[in-house]
Amino acid sequence: MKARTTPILLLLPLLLCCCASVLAQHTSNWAVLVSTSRFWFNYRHLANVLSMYRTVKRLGIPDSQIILMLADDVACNPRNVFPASVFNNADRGLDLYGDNIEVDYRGYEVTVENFIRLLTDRVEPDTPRSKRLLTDDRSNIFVYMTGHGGNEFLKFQDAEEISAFDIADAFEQMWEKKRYHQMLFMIDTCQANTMYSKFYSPNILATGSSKLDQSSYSHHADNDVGVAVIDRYTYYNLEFLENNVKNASSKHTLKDLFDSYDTKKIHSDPGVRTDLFNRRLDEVLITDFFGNVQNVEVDGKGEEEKWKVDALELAKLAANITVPGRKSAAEKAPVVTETVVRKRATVSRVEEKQSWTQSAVGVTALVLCAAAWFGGALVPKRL
Amino acid sequence: MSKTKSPPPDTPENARTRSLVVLSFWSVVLLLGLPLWWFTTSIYRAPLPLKEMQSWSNGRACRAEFPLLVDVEAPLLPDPEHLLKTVQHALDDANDFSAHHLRLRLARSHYQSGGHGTSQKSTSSPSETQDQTEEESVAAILRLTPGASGSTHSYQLSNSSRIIDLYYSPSYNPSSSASSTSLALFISKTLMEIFVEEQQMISHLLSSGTPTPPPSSVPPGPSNSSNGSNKINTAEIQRKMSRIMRYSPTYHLTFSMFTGAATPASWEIEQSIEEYLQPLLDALSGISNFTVDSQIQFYASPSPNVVPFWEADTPENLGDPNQLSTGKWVLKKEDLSSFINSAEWPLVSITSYPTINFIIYIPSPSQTPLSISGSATNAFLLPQWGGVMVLNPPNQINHLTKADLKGAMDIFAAQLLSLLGAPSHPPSLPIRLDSLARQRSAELLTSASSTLGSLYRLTKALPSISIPTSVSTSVAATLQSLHNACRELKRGHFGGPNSALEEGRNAAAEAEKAFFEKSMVGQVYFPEEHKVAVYLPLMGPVGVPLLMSAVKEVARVVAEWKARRRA
Repeated sequence: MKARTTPILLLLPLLLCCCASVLAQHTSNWAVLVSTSRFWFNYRHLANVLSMYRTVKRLGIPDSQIILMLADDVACNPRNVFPASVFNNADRGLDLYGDNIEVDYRGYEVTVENFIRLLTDRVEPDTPRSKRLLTDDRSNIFVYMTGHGGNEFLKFQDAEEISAFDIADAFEQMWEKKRYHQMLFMIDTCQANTMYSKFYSPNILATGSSKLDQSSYSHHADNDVGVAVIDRYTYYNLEFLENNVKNASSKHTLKDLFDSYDTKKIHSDPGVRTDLFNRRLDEVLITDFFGNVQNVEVDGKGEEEKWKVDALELAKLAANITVPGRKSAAEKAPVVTETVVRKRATVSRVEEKQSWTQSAVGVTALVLCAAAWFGGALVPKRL
Repeated sequence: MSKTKSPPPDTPENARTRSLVVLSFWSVVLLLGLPLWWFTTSIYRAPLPLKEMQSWSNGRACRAEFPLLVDVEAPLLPDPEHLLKTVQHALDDANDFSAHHLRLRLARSHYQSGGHGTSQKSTSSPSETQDQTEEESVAAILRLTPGASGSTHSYQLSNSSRIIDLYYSPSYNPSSSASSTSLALFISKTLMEIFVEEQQMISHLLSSGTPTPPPSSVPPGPSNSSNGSNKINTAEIQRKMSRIMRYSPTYHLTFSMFTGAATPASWEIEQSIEEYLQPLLDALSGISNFTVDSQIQFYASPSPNVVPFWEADTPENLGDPNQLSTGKWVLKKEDLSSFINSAEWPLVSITSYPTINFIIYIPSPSQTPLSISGSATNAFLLPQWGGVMVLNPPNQINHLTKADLKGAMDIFAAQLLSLLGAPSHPPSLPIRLDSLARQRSAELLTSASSTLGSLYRLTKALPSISIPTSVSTSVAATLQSLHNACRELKRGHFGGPNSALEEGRNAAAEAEKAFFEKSMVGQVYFPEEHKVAVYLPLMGPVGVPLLMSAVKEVARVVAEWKARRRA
């Protein structure tokens, strides 16, 4: 009797384990890497992003699942003494621009609008696949942004800015439409931590280089290139990733990465926001976001028939299947597939607008301001 | 206060003119400026049937039902009606997921059909003609025939038809209640067994889709096993769900051969697909369409960090692959997850619909034979992505024939079915495909409903987002299609033209169109202080003189009126 119950007891934790691993499953990895600045003196931002690009590619995320947004005006800049090369270190050991990079949004395409359209997938119908974030509820997304920012905003190419609220709303829309499973948001800019302070959608882990009123500093300059080549926060992230995460089978966790942050080295206070993320950081592998580790299902011994069918027999069976209301395969062949008939119907219900209260608040604020001004102008007259 | 020179007194005429001027300014501001400001800054939000959208997303608008009709043919049974009633009772009692239920019906055809000796064609044709008139598809046909003498109850399901041949024990005696209960129990158990996998899947789909996920919720956890299925099944279903490709009306299949050397240089892939897979794809075309292409890449290697190790058959040759030893190269299971060399293998598709990849990897001669540890078929499946098979042809073969590829096609066919979500359980292909159609309908229904729910919450949460008319048109179309789909489900009309599947497909497509309307970009967030900053430079210089003059005028009028009253 005892002998019979013990295997079940042994199985139980195993089953629970199974459930946990099922929960954490994702089937694809995507990366969105954005450098929001342009011009030569922002060399380091481009180098930051290209370094991250190289890292995620090294760990197996295919180019088709990396969205790279950058001004891309540095490699072929006339001021670049190393034409067609971008380096992230003064030793110039590694040419980031290298042989094989695919920039998806380039130059003036790097706009707030395009970025938000990309995240929410509200794009023109003829947008190529390479410019779309085709994720689903089983996709882990790594979002990396760098550029010049401030309290709750990030500049895009000196022309416009994105606010923390915009990004938070975009992420919420992604969550609503089940466009991600989990997300890692990493940002290297001045006052970076304010950028993720407005997030409110679940399963987002966020980290930034510096807190409110803190700058994010560059690491070092290359005297021949003439400008700073990389930012500190990104540099130390990369250092950890290069030294510890050698390949996609690495078992290092995000906790290891975050623990490696050293305020003295980075010269600012990097932040991590975990309250939206419901997994323990020491269980989250770095490759869950930086790599592309696909789950595999291998048949065990004796499970052969589950994964193998006789294709010929199946084909024969399929050939004479008659689905009610459908002609058999042979008869069906010449039939052109029908176009989907779209039915239109009119909408009858009308819902009240909600914006009234907001307008009222705005108007009151304005009137109050005007009154204050007016009052101020009036007071000295009386005296 | 010293007496300074004061301006000449205001004439009443001047005062009147000034009043008129102030009045005219104010009337321009109020009658022209304010409406203009209102119209140019207000955001157009097309009216949406919010209540209806919400009720769909809550699952309150439609209780999806999957009534499966089972025709019973019992030509030799004395009192089939009574038996049917008992079986129906047993089925209803045992079923704890009421949306998916089996309904038995005594086939009318059995009166004229000549009993158990008829061929498959002749029994299925009358039921088909019935379909034409009643528009209700039969999920299965249960044929009751007496078994060989001395045998117990047994059943047989051929893998090519929907007919379940059930042989009841010849000792069955309809007048004895014990005997009839045992047969009824056996029949109900058989039917449940055949449809259990589908039922679990549908119950999972419906339960995971309908309740509105609160923002703090975890992705579908193990807690939604409310339908009595035990833990093991939940885990298994979860695994299956994570494997299945999201529904698309069209899929692209890419068959790739990656070879580690320059050989084999050609393969009969076209013929193989034509012969082994095309009929299956045709049979599936009622659910999804497929486009197919193939490619070869030479000198291809898996990801650089995947290094197989040598496993010698005999201990004395251990670790010495250069000697003419027998053994094999083995890929560890951990290696498989990064086996695909996405940097170098051209697996990117340009189609707008999802791609399923099937890869035959042929190792270079120096690494042949290569095998996957623990795999009997030397293949593995990547959930929602495709399948990979490692093929070890005889050395230096230059051309892979259809026969060489047969083994790979066997595996790919099974992988394709499981990636699409066809249940693995009943051996009968027609029943499996019917099940798949029902599953996909359920999936589409929940996905369209949840998209409506997302849109509903979005319009509530972001009041500054504009909603163009096209969205409300799409939403209306979605609701119409959902309504139709729900009706067709209740009628048991799952596949074919105007069926639940097709309506669900329309609904899902329209819902996506509504949600992803490109002009609904929420890039219009302005904090209140921004608004003040925008308006103040305008309102200050214009507003203050306006207000001041208005106040002065009013004060003057009041003063005048008071003076007049005093006088």
